[in-house]
Amino acid sequence: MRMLQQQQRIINSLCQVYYPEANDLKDAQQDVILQLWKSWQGFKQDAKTSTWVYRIALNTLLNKKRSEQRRPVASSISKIEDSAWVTTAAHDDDLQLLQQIISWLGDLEKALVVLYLEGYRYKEIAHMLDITESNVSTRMNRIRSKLKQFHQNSSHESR
Amino acid sequence: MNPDKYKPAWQQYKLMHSQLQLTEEEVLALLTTPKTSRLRSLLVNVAMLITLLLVCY
Repeated sequence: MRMLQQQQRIINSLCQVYYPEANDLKDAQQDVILQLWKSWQGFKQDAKTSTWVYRIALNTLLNKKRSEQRRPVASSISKIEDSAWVTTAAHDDDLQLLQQIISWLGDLEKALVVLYLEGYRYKEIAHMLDITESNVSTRMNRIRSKLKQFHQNSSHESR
Repeated sequence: MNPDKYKPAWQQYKLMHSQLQLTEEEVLALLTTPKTSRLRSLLVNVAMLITLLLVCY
């Protein structure tokens, strides 16, 4: 219970990344907390608790997104919600840009960017998301290209 | 384009959402109450089934 409370900042931020709308956010939080609760006994303390929380939470959210994509109605709603996230104004320019960039990325790309920004290495990210290190590297290169494109587009628009 | 530029913004983002701390009672409630989304999808499925039955009839 104490662990769940200590890791709230991570849980809330990750749920907000994938589910910006209030009702879905609560559902996502519930899913993640439930999964962490169930998995806690199997946690061997061989990694930092925050690393373990990132792994369980991101995989829970990615699975939730995948199962929703199989249902067309739910996925169209979540797309609207994703775009709504962009309009959630942040005061800081970089923070606002980061929110726009993340909402522009695919579900797995979101997870990669979040873990990268958290300072994890490709090897650790690969382990946490259960994909290969070369897959992480390829996808990160694609994300860099997308970011470049995003910045070019936004600078064209501002002219 | 280097994503490292956004590392401070991510820390700020996390800080922004740390204000929504759940109390012990709220966490317990989350673990024990049935999910609203399950209820929502059950209602949608029932509505679809009724529509389908009406169309077939």
